[in-house]
Amino acid sequence: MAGVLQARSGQVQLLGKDWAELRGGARDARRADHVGVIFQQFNLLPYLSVLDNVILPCRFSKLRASRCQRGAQQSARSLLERVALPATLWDRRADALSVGQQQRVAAARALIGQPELILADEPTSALDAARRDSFMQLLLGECANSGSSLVFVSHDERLAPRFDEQLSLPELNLAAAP
Amino acid sequence: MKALLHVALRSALNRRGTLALVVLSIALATALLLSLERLRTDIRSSFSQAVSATDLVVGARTGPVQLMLYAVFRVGGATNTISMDSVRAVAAHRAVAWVVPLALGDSHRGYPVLGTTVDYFKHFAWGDKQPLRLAQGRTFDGTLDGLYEAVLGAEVAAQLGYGLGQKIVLSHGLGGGGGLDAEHADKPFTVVGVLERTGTPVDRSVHVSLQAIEAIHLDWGGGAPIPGLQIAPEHARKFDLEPKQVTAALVGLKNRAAVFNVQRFVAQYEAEPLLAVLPGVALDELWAAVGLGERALLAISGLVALVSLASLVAVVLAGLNERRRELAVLRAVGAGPRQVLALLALEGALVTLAGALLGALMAAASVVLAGPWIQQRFGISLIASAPTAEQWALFVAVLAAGMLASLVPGWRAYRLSLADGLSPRT
Repeated sequence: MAGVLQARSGQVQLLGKDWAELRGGARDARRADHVGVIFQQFNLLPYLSVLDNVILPCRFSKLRASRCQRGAQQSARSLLERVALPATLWDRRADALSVGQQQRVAAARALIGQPELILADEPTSALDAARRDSFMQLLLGECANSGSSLVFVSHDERLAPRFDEQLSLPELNLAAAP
Repeated sequence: MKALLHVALRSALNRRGTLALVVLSIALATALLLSLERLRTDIRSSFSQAVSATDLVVGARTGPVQLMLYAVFRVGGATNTISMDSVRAVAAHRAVAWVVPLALGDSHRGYPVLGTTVDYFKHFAWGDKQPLRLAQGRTFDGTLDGLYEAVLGAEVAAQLGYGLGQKIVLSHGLGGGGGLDAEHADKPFTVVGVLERTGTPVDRSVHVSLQAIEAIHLDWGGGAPIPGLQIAPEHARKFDLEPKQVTAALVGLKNRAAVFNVQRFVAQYEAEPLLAVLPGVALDELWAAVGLGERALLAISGLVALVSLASLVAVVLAGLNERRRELAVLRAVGAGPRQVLALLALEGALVTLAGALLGALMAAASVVLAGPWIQQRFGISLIASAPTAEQWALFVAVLAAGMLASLVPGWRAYRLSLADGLSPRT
């Protein structure tokens, strides 16, 4: 869906454009413009400050930078505020933060510049129950705010009720089998 | 590009320990390369500065290189002597301005003794036609009263701790006998002058008059004292001390244009087989002969540079595995593979640049710091001058090689598939 792998049959479209129609460089640019990614862990560049990590997508995508109406810096600050990261941490190195804090920074980074699609790959699996719930609330709320679709992969079925649509991969695989 | 530079800088700072080592190893290699090159050019220039203002060196017929070696560099022995009559004949040529005869063959504690005339101090020049200058005292007299007087080269005086008035004894032979050389102990010399340092073989020479050389050999025959014959020093003055034979002669011309003319005259001189060489030409030939070792040195330092560049590649490649996650994050936020390649190449370039600059600084500092010591120890004057064209070329070569080398890990990262990058295994 992020245009990383090419479909062997059928089509994968993002915003009405088939990934297969684009060449490598254009795919990278399109991904940078329209997709925000949150990994399971190790989302941040450890040697950059929290703020710099959040701004990073704007450095590579003019579109996302232009969507930050009050500038990338200001957008990053307000996003960090909304994911409830204390301002004293903003200028720290990213690896000085706890895992839960890092995940919130990752969410802010995925959200900056309002990409249409947010891909989240088990972002809560490293968090305990309380942190997981607050993180989910934040993430869903911010996606709704910026109008981004959230595609969320998880083993944790307790999270399922929070989403509008659910697909089970084992069932999908069964359906795809001849 | 600005975004990349920012990230590259931060990333490099993050791994500063490892990178500092690489910078250091590149710096050492660069310093080695540059100082060897400096040494090479300066040795060459000291070499070619050993004699100037002399148009021809005349000696017995042998190879031009050998003649230069013994007449100018005091290395090795003369195959044959030339008669004073021949020297006088050359001096009588109308194009010849001056002739300074040289008599070699004795030594003092390993330093060669040069028998010559007072004219030597007037006409001999080194470097860019710089004349010999006295640091202390005066030249020897050239008269019978000053028969046993010696003028020391700067290094002889410094190494042996001699000052004016010091009595020295000359040994027969070139000091290769391991102290077994017979000494002219009955006729000690007095130091009357010390020359300023020149960085040429003059520094290593003891200068006495031709007559003195004759005098100390009066009671010698066949390279040993004649048994039962002893001529006291004062007594020697009564003998005819005009030399019959000398080793070689330096010739200055009135007009340089006549140099081939005189050379031919010497070569065709009938009474005795003679050879005249142009110092510049012979020095070039000599340099071509010793240049082999110098090229080997340069090749070795080139290898050192290669090894340290290889270590740069190794470090970056080894780091690549650890940095996969970092690169994955970069790719996830929209950096293209080309930008990742640029990131790694940029880092390599920065590291190489820092290393090469540091190395150039180290090389310059070592010339300034070690220069006096090398000058004193080896008689090679190192000049802390602006880099030569060759040094610039080497510097640029190191930089280019470093950037090329850092493309290797960059290319690896470029080839890492995006899928690999976007699904980092934990």
